[in-house]
Amino acid sequence: MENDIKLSEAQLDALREVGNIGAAHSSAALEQMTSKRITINVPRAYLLPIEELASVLGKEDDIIVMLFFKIFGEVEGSIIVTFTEEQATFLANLLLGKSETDTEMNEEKESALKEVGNILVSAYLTAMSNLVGFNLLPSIPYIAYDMVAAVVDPLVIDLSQSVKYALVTDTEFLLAEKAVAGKCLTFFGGESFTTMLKAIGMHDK
Amino acid sequence: MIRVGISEIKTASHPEILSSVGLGSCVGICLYDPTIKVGGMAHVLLPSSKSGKIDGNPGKFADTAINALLQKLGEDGVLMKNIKAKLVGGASMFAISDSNDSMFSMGPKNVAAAKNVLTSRGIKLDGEHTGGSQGRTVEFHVGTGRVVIKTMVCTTEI
Repeated sequence: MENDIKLSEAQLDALREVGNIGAAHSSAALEQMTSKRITINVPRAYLLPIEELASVLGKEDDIIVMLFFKIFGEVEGSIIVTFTEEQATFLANLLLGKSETDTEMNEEKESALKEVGNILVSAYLTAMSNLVGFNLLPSIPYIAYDMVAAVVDPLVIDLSQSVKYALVTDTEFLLAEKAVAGKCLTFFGGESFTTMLKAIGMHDK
Repeated sequence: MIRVGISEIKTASHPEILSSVGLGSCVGICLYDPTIKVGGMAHVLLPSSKSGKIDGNPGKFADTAINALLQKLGEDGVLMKNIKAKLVGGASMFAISDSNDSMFSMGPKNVAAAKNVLTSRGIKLDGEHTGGSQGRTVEFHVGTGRVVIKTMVCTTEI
């Protein structure tokens, strides 16, 4: 059955809307933190074979900073926030009040970014929880900084033990002046995305 | 250069290079026969076919992947007694202490599982570049067994 999972356009639309509302809340939180204007693009929602997760984040050997959270509650999933190295250091410098020319990643920046991630993801999941009517809670943040293909491994491992496809919502937010973009993605496998669809009244069985 | 993606198993002969980009907690299992210059690589995600809830491609698990790779190499004329092995990958990408959570501790488990299977099949481990917390790109020269490893910061060879 898993092999021929298909979602209708209407279902994907509804999921995009869920992503949109989550992203709107997290961008508002990021605006407060940075005092910069943040814009978000229209999120995408799609099903993706687990083995291809890396492809949504860039080329396999692109270096990225990835903040990772497990989602607990009625559903199980993951939520990640990713930045390029340049975007991540720019954002961390902004929060730490450091010079923009300091572009090396270090522990201080990592912990500033974890805090950003915490706030973004909490806002995102709170908005999503209100919409679906049950709690979605984030774990503590984990951070990895390496090649795209390498940092997604734990995610692939987590999902691949139970499902072949993941439901992905994919949002980009831009820090206006610098065009700093980050991506926020959620992943739900199997039963969990059925639960999500039911919760938004879009389950067709 | 022939790409070996997640859960894939490929064999080739000299002077081909088999490559996987960005191994994180995945392990690249490289087996080769230097006498006839034929080798193969499996890019495994999980330690054991018993650990997954769903069946899948044998290439996904260390145990079934090594068996499948040995069978392919046998078809290519490789003799068991000549086979040597090298292992690359099995990092812990998120440096955290909670090793009870399977998604964070899979790297070292993958390496241990691969070693177990190799030992049980009587295959000599000729080199490894495993563990740590760095992603690795691997280029495996099947004819010679030379393995070049590139991380974010350096390039090494085993």
